[in-house]
Amino acid sequence: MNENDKGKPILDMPEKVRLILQRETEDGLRRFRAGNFDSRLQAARRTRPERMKLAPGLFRRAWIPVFGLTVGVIVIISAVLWISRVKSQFPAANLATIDEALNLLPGFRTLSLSRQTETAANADLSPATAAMSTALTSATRSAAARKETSAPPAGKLVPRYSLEQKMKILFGDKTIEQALSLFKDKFKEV
Amino acid sequence: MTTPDDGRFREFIVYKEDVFRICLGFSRNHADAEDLCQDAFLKAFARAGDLRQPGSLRIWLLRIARTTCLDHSRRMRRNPIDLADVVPDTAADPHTPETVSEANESLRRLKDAVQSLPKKQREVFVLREYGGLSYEDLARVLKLRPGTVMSRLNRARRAIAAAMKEE
Repeated sequence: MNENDKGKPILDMPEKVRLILQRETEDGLRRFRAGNFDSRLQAARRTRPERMKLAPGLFRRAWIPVFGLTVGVIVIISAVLWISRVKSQFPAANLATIDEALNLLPGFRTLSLSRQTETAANADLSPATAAMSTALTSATRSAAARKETSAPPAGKLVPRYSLEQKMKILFGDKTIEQALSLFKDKFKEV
Repeated sequence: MTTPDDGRFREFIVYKEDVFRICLGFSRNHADAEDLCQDAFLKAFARAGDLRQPGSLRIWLLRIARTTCLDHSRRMRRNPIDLADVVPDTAADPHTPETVSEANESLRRLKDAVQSLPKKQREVFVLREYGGLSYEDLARVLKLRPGTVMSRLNRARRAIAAAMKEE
């Protein structure tokens, strides 16, 4: 009986089993030697179908990065197509339309009128004078914008509001209007 | 005229009996074992480029034989062992028909017992009892510690002994 590395005994094969194994092995080897294995193997090597040939080691597992790359490309293409489709369903807001709508409001209408008056006045002047006038007007408007004056009287020079400024004013007005509407039933003043 | 391919063939074929013994342990009969042996060598020829250390050719071949046999066992798992499959060639057997029949029955029982071992125990048992590998060689083929090899072999032998006693 042998011992393993922990000092435990390794069981020997029972004699009966050992004899069966020995007989099988000897019988198998006897027949194996009698056959012509070498020439059979040589013939099999020559006639081996192409499909049984193994791919070179480099390409044996190449499908993994190829698969990953393909999936990545498909995901990117799908994302691009999806985004373009969503964009086509919801076109970008037309800023010109918003500007026109704002100009219809009373306060902004005044602003537009003053701008038209100014342009008409400059039409009679020489190009140099007109340019000077426009520069002066712009400077005045910038100063006025800094003061944040709102709805000046008609006919006077007024600051030119950008669309952003107009939106701020509009939302401010709307907020106040909504706040007042909340209190309208509770207080007489409202 | 000798080609490098012929040289390699001769180098490999030296170990044909070692490979065959292992194939015999894993398979049901002599014919299957020879087919498996051939498959193992064909795989080895195809992978000859992977052999880094020519000194370990035998271990490398035995490893390929083991893998080939285990793949084959996996494919054949659903097919039960037929008595006719494990009956050895009796034409040249000097024993009486009674003793031959008894021996065949014992062999069938042993094959059943080996096939029913867990894979890890079966491979250790076959490599040791059929292949005649030393514990060191077993550890190298299976890439295990010798202690692990011994404990698996011990469990396998106990299981085989118990199975042969029961029947």
